[in-house]
Amino acid sequence: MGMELYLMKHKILTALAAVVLPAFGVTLTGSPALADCPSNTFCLYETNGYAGTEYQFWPSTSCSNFVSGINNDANAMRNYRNAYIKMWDLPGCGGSTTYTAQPYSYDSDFGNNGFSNKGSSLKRI
Amino acid sequence: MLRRSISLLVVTLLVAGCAAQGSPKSSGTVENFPPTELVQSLHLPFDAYTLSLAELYTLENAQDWLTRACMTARRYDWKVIERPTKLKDLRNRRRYGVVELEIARQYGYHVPAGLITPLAVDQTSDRRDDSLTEQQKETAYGEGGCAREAVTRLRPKADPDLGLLQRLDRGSLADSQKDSLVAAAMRSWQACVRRLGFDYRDPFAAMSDARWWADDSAPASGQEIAVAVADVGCKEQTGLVTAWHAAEARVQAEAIRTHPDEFQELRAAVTAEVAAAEAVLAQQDR
Repeated sequence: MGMELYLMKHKILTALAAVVLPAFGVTLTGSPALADCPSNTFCLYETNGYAGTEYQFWPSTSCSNFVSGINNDANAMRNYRNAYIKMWDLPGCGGSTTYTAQPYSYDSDFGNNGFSNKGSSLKRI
Repeated sequence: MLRRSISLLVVTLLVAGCAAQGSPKSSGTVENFPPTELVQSLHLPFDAYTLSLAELYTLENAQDWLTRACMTARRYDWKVIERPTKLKDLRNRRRYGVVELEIARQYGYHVPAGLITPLAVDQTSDRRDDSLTEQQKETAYGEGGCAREAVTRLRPKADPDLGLLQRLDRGSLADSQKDSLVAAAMRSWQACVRRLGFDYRDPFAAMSDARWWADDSAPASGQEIAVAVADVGCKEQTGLVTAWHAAEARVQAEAIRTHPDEFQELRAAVTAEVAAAEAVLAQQDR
């Protein structure tokens, strides 16, 4: 695929993502190959290496539970938010297994931290 | 190919929309739920090797000041948020599930707003984000942005390996359940909730019940509250959390003795990171 086509697809996809679900705290992007975590967004991936479906979050005042599809299935993250994001292994921000993502950080494989397929909820700190 | 990708995306987004209608919203605030004595006692040896909320806020305050200096240099405003840094360390408040009866009675397993982090801080942060122009956002958050630079500046030169700590943290929960007192208390808890008409292998299974989270934009159902109240009441009756916490503390203390160099490195990283942030904040006080 030429770079121009890639950029055009990327822009269209990004625009759609922004237009279709602006109000929800979480969206999905459809094509893993085109997935690219936008600025000021927290992204989770089903598969290590940032592969699989990308789930985008804008965590705010509430504890956010993962939607079906990524619940207990997250294996990588990009945190492009200006905030720490903490994840828990139980819904409702509970349980013993947690993972704190630093602002502007990324982790291609939760396996190194024993958090593979564990996450169920998150909260901006 | 392009059309197919777009269609896929739209379909996926619509599916996501259906799922996201159940996106979490907590109602109420935490003001009526001061931490109980039990909650305040839930400290663990590993706590000293990761950042507490007060320490995280210290870092974020410093990042804010650095961001403001950078934004000012680029001729943009930046409001600094003064997060509180004198906070009780309540990070393990929900480690063993819900342990506060009043929260269970009113919210079931749901989270009252402000329980994890102070609501006023979260709201101030949201208001600031909402007030930013697109140019301010790009200047702060974009590639080479001021906020990114601030975070990088405060980050330790060598990031410690948190993998070992996180694996041991998970292990301490599993190993502590093999403790004879914890195992006995867990069996008593199971019997207790069964007498009340519920059947769960442990408090995590009760909290994770998919029925509570199918549409968590809705308040807790009567059934969820009934289970949560039974769960917490049985924890109190059996002394499960006290026994579990004590056993975990022993397991974690032993792990620290087994890996002295690694834990020393982790502690040094926390100390250095907080010290760098405090140095930035000290300059603002002059």
